[in-house]
Amino acid sequence: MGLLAGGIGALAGIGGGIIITPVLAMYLGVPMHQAIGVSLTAVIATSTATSSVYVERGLSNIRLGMTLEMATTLGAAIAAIVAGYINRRTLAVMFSLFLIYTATSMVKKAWGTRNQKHDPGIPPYEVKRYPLGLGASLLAGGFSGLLGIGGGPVKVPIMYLFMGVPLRVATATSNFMIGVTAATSAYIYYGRGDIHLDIAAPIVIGVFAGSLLGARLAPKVKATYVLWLLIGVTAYLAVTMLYKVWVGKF
Amino acid sequence: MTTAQEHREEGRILGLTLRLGSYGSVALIVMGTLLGFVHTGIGDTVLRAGFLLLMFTPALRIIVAGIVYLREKDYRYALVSLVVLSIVTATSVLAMMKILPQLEK
Repeated sequence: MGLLAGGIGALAGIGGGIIITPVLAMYLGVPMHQAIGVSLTAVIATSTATSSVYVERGLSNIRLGMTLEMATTLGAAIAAIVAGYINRRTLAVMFSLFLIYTATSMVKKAWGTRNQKHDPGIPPYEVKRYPLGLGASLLAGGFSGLLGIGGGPVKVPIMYLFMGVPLRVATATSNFMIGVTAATSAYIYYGRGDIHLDIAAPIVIGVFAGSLLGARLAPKVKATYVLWLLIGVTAYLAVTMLYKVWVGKF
Repeated sequence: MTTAQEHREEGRILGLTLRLGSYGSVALIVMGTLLGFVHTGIGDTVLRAGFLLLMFTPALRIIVAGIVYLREKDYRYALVSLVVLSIVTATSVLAMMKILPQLEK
């Protein structure tokens, strides 16, 4: 399962967290807080493995990433602590809403890139509106700590639309920031005993192998198909999760 | 202002840190899992070491970046690295002290 999540994630340019938490919680009977903890470790593994490549190619804006990390780590720490006071049903509802938001933002992306054929390269750019970026990063970090995800769907549009960062750089920079952000909340979950290594080990190994495989396959597979597949999966998980909370099975 | 050359240097060393950390930790996790099938005690220790390395690689990356910025005399970003590192360290200390509330199961 980790292999699948990692592979699809790498192909579509998202972390596997969005799939791992709901599948563990709904189908494998893992308690919500533990599912989030396990997902965080998987998110660290994918971010670390893939961002090493982006960083070496100079695609991530390291200075911008480090600046925004001041906010994401703070948000992640606060949210991870707060998550301890929130019951699992509320977390499940919040997770479902985030899944729906992610699905819609992927629909926009798939629609927007449907006619794009070649790689446009990176134009020169100047980063602007730092305060807005820091505010959004605090929020993204919060989502990460609360839901065990990377928070890319929050950071990437802000950097791209409001801070003047090209899309590919925004994606690579967001990916770079995720490792530190997820690690910060992972300490809290680990300290609380919510990261069970026997569950986390196969998932981490899977997403790591999957993300390497996905990165290899990426040039050969049409990104749009993967994106639509992922839209279907996230929408299905969101609806199922909401339904289970509704009928009280969660 | 920094040159493109320095940016590449920075990317190379950070990329290497991330690569060593991720491959190293996953190798330990694989080994720990395999050892767990034969000998539980050693398996658990190796597995735990793997996860600790995985969770502390991002912190290590911040320290390396801070050192790079100090050497470049880029004090502004050295300070940024220090702030991020402080938040991360404070959180991990807080987590280890086990003063946080226990969860509703």
